Amino acid sequence: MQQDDLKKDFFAFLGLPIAFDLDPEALEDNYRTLQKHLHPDKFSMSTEQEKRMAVQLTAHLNEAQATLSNPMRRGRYLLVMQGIDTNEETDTVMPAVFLMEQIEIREQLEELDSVDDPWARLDALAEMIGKKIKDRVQGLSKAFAAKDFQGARGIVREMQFLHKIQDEIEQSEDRLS
Amino acid sequence: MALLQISEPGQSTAPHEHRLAAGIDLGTTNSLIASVRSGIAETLPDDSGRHLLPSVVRYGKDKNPVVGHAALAVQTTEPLNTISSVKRLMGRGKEDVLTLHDTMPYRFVDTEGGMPSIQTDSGVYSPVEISAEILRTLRNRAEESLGGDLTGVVITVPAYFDEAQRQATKDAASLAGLKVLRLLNEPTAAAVAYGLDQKPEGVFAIYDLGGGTFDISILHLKKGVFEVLATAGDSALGGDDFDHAIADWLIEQSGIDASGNHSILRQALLVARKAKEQLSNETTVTVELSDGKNQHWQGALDRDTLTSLIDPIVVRTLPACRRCLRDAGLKVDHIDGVVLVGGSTRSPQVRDKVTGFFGKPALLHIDPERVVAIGAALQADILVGNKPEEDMLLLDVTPLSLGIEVMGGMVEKIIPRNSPIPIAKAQEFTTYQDGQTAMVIHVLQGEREMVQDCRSLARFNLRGIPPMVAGAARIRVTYQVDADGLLSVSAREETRNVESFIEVKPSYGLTDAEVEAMLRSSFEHAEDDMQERKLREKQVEAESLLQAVAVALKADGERFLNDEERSAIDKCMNKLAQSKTGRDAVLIDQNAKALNRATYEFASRRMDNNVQQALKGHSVNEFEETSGK
Repeated sequence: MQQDDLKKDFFAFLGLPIAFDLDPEALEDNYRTLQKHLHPDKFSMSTEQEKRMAVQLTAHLNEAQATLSNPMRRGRYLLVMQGIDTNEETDTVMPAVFLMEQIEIREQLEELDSVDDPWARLDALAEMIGKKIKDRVQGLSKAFAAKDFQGARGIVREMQFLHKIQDEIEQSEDRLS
Repeated sequence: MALLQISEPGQSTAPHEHRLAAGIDLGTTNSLIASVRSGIAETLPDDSGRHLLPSVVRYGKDKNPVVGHAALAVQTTEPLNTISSVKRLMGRGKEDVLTLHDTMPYRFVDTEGGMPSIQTDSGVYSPVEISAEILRTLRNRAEESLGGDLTGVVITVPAYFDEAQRQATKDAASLAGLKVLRLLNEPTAAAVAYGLDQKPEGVFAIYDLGGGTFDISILHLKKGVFEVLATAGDSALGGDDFDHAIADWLIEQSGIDASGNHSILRQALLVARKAKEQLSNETTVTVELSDGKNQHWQGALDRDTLTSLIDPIVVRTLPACRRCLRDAGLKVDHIDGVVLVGGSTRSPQVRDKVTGFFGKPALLHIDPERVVAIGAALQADILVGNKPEEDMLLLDVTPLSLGIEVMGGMVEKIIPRNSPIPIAKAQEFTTYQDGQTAMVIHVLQGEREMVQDCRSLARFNLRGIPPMVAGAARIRVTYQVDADGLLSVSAREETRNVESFIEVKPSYGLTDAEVEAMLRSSFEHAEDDMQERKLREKQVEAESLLQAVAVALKADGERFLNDEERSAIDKCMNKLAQSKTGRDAVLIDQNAKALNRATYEFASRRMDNNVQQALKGHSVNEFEETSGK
């Protein structure tokens, strides 16, 4: 009962070559063009069938866009296409140096209530994490270019941790304001 | 009542016929209806030339509800029968209403599981029924001034409305006999009104402070696409809170004992609202309060005092603005302009705070009280098919995260907030005990980690899981949010591909049966009218299905169908066209379903082709060439 387009991989669906490095403008242009053709609003006077298909296709399109526009998710998706699972939930073994660093950052977050200027502390932390993530995006680009999939897997797993801390920083911001 | 249009039997109306559509802003304080006439979107006035309909309904002893200005006029004399700000109760549970009790002095009645209802002299009414009364009044106004039945409407809701509040709004519309083309977020509607008017490009913040709700949305406007990047807000914060803060001050200053005195409370609120409005233009106003017997107080309220009273409330909107920016991945200086929406943004204090925060002057050349209805009317006109050449598109997001209860009373997020909609996401879960054959799927909405801090939307019982050891079953739960922002949830056991039974119990929404019961009781000659209404609905549905298929066949019939397929579809069409002129609603429904089945393959081929066509000229090769530069 599924349509052919829903079976395509996200790159093919969005008309992009399968690669980690992608042109963000092409992604955005193709995304908007497809939305203009597929969005349910374009089918409000059509049959129930076509309406339902439009919802399915745009849901798929939104998921494809969300996956490809986020470097970590794009990396993980490319690995899955290679048959490599990043196993964040079951395989929790991480390099010791990375874990030490994580513990330090977490301690800084926990001290938030006892420092003079918690906002400055949060801004500094957010900037540091942002830089670390940026470094890893470059690392992923190199790893995929060299077809070093195990290397890419390690980087994606580290990014997962970094994004989690980013979420916690945001939650602390919400709590403070 | 408007007359029903009937075309000659067997002959379908021309596909390009102008259809009547309207946009409705169902507000906390006032409601409006707008429509596009001769290419211009405008709000529709009542017989006396008034555009705003006060969202007030009076249920007196004489049974006939009174809506609008006439109801507003009696609200101090009949405070318990005259319901205002009902939007604040939509989709709310008992606990929420308890916290609102100070601000909503009515006689609440518990109903089983759902929203609390209100006891009046003519009976008990739910918030959905009260809202439907307002919608019915607007519908009559539009059908009279447009001269025909409305094909469909777009109803606006606060962007920050949750699932239960949206569902309640949709229920109210069907109770009022309206076909909802789309629930549209209020700030997005305002952006459409500005966007189609001025055609600006860039990133805009829409700050919408209404009577009872606050939204902030950040949109990216580019080449006719309105993309919401993020939204945030508070669905229980608005100008009503200004009125209450001022009223409390008035009562305190007057020294009149108002505890438990509904009439004085109402009077203080009216004086407060009037003073607030006057202080937008004047620096000081005289205020009076009287208990109608021996106590009479007169005083003055100046703008500085007003500012000090409402400032704490205005400040509460700023964290949401910050969060919205952050979720959009932007900084304040990325914002190209700020649009002010909602009656409460008329207040100079609000304007100063907002323009100060964003560092940009505000756009406000469209009346902030009408802009939402106008945007909704523009969208309705497009959705109903009156502007086939228009390539405007709205891309909206879901305001709150959607999750599921997992072990330990924790919430696992399935769809994060600010995800573009429509969206579908699936996640797998497993059993906790050996031999477990059932599972409760508890659907929640909100940002917090614990179940008790989120809004419970529904509980599903998934039964028929094959008995296995703990952790072996694989239950795939799928959340789907449609373009109205409404959620549906399904679950199935995957290892043995067993179709499992799902039971839906909406926590706050109304079941279809409840809606039907209300519909029935709202008609005097219940049975006859119900039958007639059902038949008419089916006839209208059949007509629009026939039209849609005819248009599709004309465009792509020869391309995608062989003779055999074509004749099968034609046969179904003829059958439906014939039954449509009769009075058998069940038969019409059956024939419509048969036509839908017969066109499935055709629709599927058309959609596939649509995808191919969309990216023509955006091919992979071309991309590689340009990216190689």
